[in-house]
Amino acid sequence: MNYFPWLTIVVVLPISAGSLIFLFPHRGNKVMRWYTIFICLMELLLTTYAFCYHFRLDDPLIQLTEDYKWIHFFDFYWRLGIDGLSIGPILLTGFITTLATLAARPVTRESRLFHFLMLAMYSGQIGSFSSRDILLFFIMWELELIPVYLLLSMWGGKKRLYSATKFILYTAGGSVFLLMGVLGIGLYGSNEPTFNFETSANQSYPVALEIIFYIGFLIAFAVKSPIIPLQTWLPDTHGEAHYSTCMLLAGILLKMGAYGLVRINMELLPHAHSIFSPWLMILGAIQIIYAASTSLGQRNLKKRIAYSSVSHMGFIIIGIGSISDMGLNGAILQIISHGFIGAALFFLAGTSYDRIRLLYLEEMGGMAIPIPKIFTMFSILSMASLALPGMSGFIAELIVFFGIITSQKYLLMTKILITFVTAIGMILTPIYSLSMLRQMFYGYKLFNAPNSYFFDSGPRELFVSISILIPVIGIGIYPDFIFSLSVDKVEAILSNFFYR
Amino acid sequence: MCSYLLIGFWFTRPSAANSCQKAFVTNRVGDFGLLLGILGLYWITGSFEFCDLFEIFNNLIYNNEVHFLFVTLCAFLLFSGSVAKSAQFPLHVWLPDAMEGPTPISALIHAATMVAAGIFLVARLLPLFIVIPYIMNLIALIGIITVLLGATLAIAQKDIKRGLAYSTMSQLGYMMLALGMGSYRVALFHLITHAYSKALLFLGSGSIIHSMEAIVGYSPDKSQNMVIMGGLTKHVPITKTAFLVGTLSLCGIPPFACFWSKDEIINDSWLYSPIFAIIACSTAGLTAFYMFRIYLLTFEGHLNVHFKNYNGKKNSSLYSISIWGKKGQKPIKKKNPFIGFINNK
Repeated sequence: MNYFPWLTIVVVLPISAGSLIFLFPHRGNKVMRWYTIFICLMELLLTTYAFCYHFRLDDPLIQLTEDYKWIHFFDFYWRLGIDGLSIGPILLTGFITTLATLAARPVTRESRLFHFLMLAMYSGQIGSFSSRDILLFFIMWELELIPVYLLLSMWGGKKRLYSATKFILYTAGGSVFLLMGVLGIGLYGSNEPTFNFETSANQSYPVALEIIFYIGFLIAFAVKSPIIPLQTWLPDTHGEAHYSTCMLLAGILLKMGAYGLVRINMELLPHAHSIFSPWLMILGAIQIIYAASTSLGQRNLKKRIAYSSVSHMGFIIIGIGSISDMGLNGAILQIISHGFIGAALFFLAGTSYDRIRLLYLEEMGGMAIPIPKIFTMFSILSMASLALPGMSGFIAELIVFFGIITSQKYLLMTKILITFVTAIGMILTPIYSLSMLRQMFYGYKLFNAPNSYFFDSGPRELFVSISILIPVIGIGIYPDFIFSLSVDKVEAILSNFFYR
Repeated sequence: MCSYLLIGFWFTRPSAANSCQKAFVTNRVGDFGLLLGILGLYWITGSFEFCDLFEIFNNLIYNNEVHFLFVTLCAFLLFSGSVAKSAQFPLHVWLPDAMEGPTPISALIHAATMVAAGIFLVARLLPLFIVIPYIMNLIALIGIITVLLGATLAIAQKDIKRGLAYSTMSQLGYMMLALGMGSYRVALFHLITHAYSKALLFLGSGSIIHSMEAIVGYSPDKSQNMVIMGGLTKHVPITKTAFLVGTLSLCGIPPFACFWSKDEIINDSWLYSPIFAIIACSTAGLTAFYMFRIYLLTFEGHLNVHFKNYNGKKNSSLYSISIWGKKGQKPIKKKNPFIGFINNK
């Protein structure tokens, strides 16, 4: 059982099953939808099975590893493996992608290509979270770009071509730096290239070189998990994409950037990370306030939620920058928690747009009476987004706060300042969330054309919303579900910082 | 969150929507301070449990091991949480608007239980605050300001629920004053007696509003407006008795409950500082004034539904309300509910 290639199957299955979609006869969309959902579900079950039975929680090393020679010429192996850090995001990916496929039922145009792209995204996401080889990580990272570009430009809103182009230019531009960093690390120090994570992790680089690599990687990850000032692609992209793409973007792709920060910058380049972490914390704190304030001024509903995503990612950046046990745990929990909440908010925004066809908040209003179920779910998830105790967001933010305080690296004044600035975000978040709720649902407005499409949530949408709500509340009540996965790995990562 | 949802119960009214958001955000500002205070205290003492916290804190203060300014700041931040929750000055702004919610909500959470949570927090953390004299003085100061502010604002209200809301604010100020003086037992005693009295008053006012709605319509501008009420003694005698009992109690008339607790607070304030005591005593007089104003406007006199000179926008004192109604006006019979409605238009 040790050598059964679980991870390879999990990574390769979606895209290969997806390519079979094109062989289906042109007999309507229903077959393709059911097939895709079936594949996604099977994949999720397979992942869960593999993790339940073959993963030991207290082992901080890499498990379920696979190592196959691919291109021996420059030592490019197909290396996969998971550990406590990546298992959370992989399960999150499976969950959210399945739900996004389920949410994408109303898509009727070019359905085959749509579902194939969804499955391709699935593969790419799991591949990048589970790769143990830097070049493979880069390849999986790039594999995400084309499906998102196509999904955005074909099924998006009014400004879709502009936002698709902006997305691809930003991300590909960041990936150039990623490639340079990857090649640099791989080719350094020995005559033959080595891309293995483990070998690279144990190798020590001169400090100047570390700093150069760090900056390169930081630019790439700063575009993806947006760190200001490189976040401007995100509101356009999230504002124009179809809501199932938004779920994938906000739920998973942003977290790939944060994951890359931990995986590469913290594990491989610890000295540079110690030098840069104060700046990361300052940037994170500013990001929270800036994005929350900008979100307040948005008139477009989806852009408002997009800026709220940027604001929540600031907590992750702070958690990564505070080199402390609790900070990193809080960052990982916020990765999972915001994955759920962001996806759910975009889903609900998208379904209400489907009904009302209005994106600007001034034109909406008084929708609580016709669509009470959506109103309820939206309210609950907005409360989750503003970190109401009892939901996962509160725990994540609280633990990040503790991480800032218990960090041993900084002076007291810095810590007080960062804590203060971050906590101001706590006041700004309810302002935009509740204001959004108020403008959409509260009040009373007579619609000029009550069309017959204005139905409330059906069972499919309720299912998607509730199945995202349950983990949010579950983690909020018992966060050990996630902490038990990540605690040992976090200790292992941080031991690098205190013993060198 | 429950307060938010309940204030916004009638969510189709825009003023209710605004009020619930205001309440949430104002309480969030207090929570911001509370969180920072908790984090600061955790950083100093390393523990969250109350017993350990107090012991370690006292040891540190007596041995002068912590920076005094930092400790004062943490305590101030902790206090600011309860300032927002208990509607003290300056975070009192949400409480009058919270009257947009249904009256049972006002009776429960905005008079008796939820706004008492802030008082309870300060009482619980009093061992921490007692060793920092600046904070105790600050608590007493904010308490007395709230007492005076609430009472003076309550005199000028024409909406019955807002008047009771400002009265709540004033009484919470009394409790905070008592805590600031260090007599926590008295504060908690006044908490309990006030809770009963105020809940009684709110429920009574709810009954009146319900009856008035049958005459003047559902708009709170009319049905909660004390200007239009009057002479309801004959129509709702049970509510009148209940309201009278509540009023007497809140004004501090023996042998009703609030007398004992308020008397102790004023007694302690004489021992604390004469200025505070003078303010507290005079505010007790103001309390009696506005409470009886509410009672008399609502229950005695003649029904003022035909009040033609009433114009809500003019604030001049030439248009003050005649408490005994206009001479020669007959009280309206309940059989013709539309007359008053049409006349007021």
